[in-house]
Amino acid sequence: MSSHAAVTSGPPEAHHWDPQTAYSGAKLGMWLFLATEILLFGVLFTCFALYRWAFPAEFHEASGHLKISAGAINTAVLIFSSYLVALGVGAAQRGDNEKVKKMTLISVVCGLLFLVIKSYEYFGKFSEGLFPATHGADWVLYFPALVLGVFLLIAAALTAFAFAAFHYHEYSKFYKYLGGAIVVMVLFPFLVSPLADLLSSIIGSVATLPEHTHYAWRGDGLTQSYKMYFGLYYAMTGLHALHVILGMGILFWVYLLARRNRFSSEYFTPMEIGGLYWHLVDLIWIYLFPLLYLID
Amino acid sequence: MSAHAATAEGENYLNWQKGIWSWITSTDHKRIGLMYLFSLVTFFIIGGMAALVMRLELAQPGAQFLDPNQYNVMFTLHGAIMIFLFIVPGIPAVLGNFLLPLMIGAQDVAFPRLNLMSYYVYLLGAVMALIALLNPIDTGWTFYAPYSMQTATGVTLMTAAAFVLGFSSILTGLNFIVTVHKLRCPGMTWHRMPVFVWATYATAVIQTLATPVVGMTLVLLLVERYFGIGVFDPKLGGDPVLFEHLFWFYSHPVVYIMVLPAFGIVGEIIPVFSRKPLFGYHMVCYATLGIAVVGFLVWAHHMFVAGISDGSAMYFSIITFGVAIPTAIKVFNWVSTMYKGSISLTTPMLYAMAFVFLFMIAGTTGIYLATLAVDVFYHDTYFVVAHFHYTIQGGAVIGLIAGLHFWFPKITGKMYNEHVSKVAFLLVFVGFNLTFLPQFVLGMEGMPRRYFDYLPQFAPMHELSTIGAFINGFGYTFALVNLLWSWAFGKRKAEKNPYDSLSLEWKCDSPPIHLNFETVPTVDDYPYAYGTPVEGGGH
Ligand SMILES: [Cu+2]
Repeated sequence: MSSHAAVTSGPPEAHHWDPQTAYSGAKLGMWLFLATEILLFGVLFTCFALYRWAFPAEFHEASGHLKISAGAINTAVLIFSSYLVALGVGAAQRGDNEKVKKMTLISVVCGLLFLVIKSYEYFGKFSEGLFPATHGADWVLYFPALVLGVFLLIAAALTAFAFAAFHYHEYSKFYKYLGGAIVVMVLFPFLVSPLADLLSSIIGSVATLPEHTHYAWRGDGLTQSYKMYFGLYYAMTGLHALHVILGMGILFWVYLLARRNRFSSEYFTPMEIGGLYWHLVDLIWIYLFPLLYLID
Repeated sequence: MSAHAATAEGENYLNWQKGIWSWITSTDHKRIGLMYLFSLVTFFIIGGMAALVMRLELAQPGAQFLDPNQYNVMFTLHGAIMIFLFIVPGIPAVLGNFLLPLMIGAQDVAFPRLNLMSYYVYLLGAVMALIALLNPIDTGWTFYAPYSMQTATGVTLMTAAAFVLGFSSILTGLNFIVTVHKLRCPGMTWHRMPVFVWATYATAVIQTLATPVVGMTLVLLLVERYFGIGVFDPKLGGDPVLFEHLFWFYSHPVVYIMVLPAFGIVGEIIPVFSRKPLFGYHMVCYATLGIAVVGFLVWAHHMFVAGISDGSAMYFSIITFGVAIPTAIKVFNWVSTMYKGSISLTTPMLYAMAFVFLFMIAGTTGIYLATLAVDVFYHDTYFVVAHFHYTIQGGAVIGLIAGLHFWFPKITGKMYNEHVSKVAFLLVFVGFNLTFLPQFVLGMEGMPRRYFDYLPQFAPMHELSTIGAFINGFGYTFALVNLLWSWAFGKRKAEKNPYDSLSLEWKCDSPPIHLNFETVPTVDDYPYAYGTPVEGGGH
């Protein structure tokens, strides 16, 4: 990479930053990134607001299908993990690597729990027909959704390993892990043959007329605005779930750094920016929950 | 600053590491700038060829050698490549990367590895876009719903490509913002920064804040294509105008991503070759930021005939007029800088002056289009095509070429052939105006845009436009060959500071060493104190 092969430790980019600037620069960078994330979700919030205003009765009725208890448990899980991450930041600033390890790992588990509860909710909706399905066979939806989740998690973990290796300038390991993550993601469509036609239509330029690839909703009695509600519900919570997975990857990377006793009172940037990211994931859910589940 | 061994004599960023691997893994902002440059030039050539094919087809009424579908594919190819692969990354990716750290006295951008990653994300997006465009696509570069949800062409891959390219743009913008905030050298206060840095900063803000919106919108378009949830589909209770709102919320500010950095370049060139302080430096800086802010508030002027309410149309019309104010401030600043200056008509100066002239035409015709009643007639005519090209080609592209000539000695360490470059300039200038002035006339006479065929009465102007396009293309080729030739075989070495400029990038070697400066530079004035005495002071 850069000429400074001699620099084997220390934060990345340190060759032209003094530590204080590196710290504040990384934080500014993360805040800017969080701003872009909020704008990303902002589009979906805008759409939701517009159509809720257009179809208030249908949206109200459709939201009644959601399990408030599941949403509430998930809210608690995320807030609790955010609290742990905040403790982790404090621990990193004191150089307490043991505590950082504990806090990040439990938070990753919380993220996992969140995803499990979320998939349980999704599958409930699928079986009610509140999803555009291909052939009506439920397993066609359950199976790929589960497998996709697992693949994404593995890829996120491998990427975290890759970043940790990169951090220590261990480039051969970096390429190995990154290659692994890419292979996992590329293998996914091949391993899941029932998904092949769905994926080829999503990924490929081989798409036929989209009308033919629109999936039918099984609930015959559903009005269109019902579908709009659930379409937006899946778009918003799905995008959020992707962010949860990404956040878990970041926290796992922080965990790997802590395992090497990387943090001290002089250097704790990764924990702090990883924590910022996790708080955002939490915050978005705190807006999604009342919007989708609670508002009458 | 880490101590590093004194650089050997004659060592610079181009030769300090050798081999292709050292280039494609380089985190040096200067090398990354050059990699962008070569990628962009490649796509500019492809997009330019598509334009020439289109102009050739349009030279006469009736079909020449394309059928209407192939024509649609050609203009999508031209539009999508020029917008997404060439001019949006454009000046920030090339000259921004190369110059930003040099101008503020830094060793590199804030996150050099992220910078390299942005380049590869860009490359990935470019490959996806090319595959999609070969598929091909017939929606134009705007992907308007509901047609983009129904067409069987490769919209899916193209919108995915646009998303990836947007991600690259966001990361670059974020990197530049942190760089400007955190890595200015001692003494480099905000009010001592070169106007190009101000322009790149304002651009970076737009890149970071506008791009996520279009990214999500395109994702929603894909969701619509495959799951039909109805957000943009009128058949299903949705609103296609919503897509246009979200699309233009990004795609109007993106015009400033293209053209603000060109303002910066012109602001650097004119004082140097007029030997006068930049007139109203502070006004230039804040007008740049002002344009960036106001640019977020005017998007629906693209939609006056799309069925928006009269009230909002009036709002967007008035605010759009407002953009003219900061823009005009800049034009007056440039002209006042030249007034009674000791002007030398070098090639960059010629391009800069052409920029001011062309951009004035672009701006005033923009006022026509911002006027509600007038826009109803002009909106779907060649008037818009001409206005747009005066803005983007006459503005952003001419600005980029001005900058490439101006900083050529710094980038390559060589001087280019001045005579050849002036001939090329003349061809570009004449060719450009010959292409697009007739299109204003066509628009006023009612020639609709995007059409494959036209009535015989439009033929003479179309013919002129086609001739102009080829002269224009020839001019660009000439300029490009001249620069490449001078770089490869030129005999004249560039000095450190061939123009006696006061800006920081001219204080390091030509070409600069890997880490830019031997010692950390310090600054005690703004870089435009040319001539005597400095009036206004306050810097
Ligand atoms: Cu606009």
